[in-house]
Amino acid sequence: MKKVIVWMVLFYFPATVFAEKYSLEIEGMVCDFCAQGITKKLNKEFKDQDIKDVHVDLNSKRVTFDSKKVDEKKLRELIKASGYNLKSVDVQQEVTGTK
Amino acid sequence: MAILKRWNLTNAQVNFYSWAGAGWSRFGNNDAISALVGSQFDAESRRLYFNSQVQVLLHPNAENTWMTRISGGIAPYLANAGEIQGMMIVQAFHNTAIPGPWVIGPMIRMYYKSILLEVGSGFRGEWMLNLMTTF
Repeated sequence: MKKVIVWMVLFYFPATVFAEKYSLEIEGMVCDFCAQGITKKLNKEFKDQDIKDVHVDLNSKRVTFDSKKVDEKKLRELIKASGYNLKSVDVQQEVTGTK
Repeated sequence: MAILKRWNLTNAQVNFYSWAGAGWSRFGNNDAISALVGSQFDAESRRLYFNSQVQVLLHPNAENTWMTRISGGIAPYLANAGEIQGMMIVQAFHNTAIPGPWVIGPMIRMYYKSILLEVGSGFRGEWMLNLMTTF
């Protein structure tokens, strides 16, 4: 029985599709203008990473989005070029489906 | 207008801007090339707003004109992204080319996504409407 389970897991694992769920803590966002500016930049710059579901929460000062893995250095540079400070980046991997 | 310095704080943003330009102006019967130089300091959180602006019109055949504006405001409620944010603002103006004391007037500013709308009183007490958007 154990062997069957192991083989099932090994069979299933390579077919699993992962996506990164990013949560950025950003300093300096105070209004919807800031939120729109950052959202537009992220959507434009990370279009090739299939970025989606960009959400800004001014209460927690966080921007969250799903995408393929993005270059964190590029992410920092993008937020800085937009006029804000990227304080922290949290990344969680989640299963989005199977191939 | 160029931003010279921005300070991003945890709950606020502080900016220092400057601008300069040249043009043609008329004072009485004197036409001449003139220049406009100005700077602005503002600090803004989701709840509070402060702005001070000074600019001078340099004209070779007339006294330089100094224009000053100071404004402060408060948001009656805190809106999140994607919601309409309102800010109630009081402005004080002074222009050395117009004799008289400082003029004080109210203004309401609304943000929604990429749109900023300001409705208030202008320098001479007339209505003022500003609409700004980003692309």
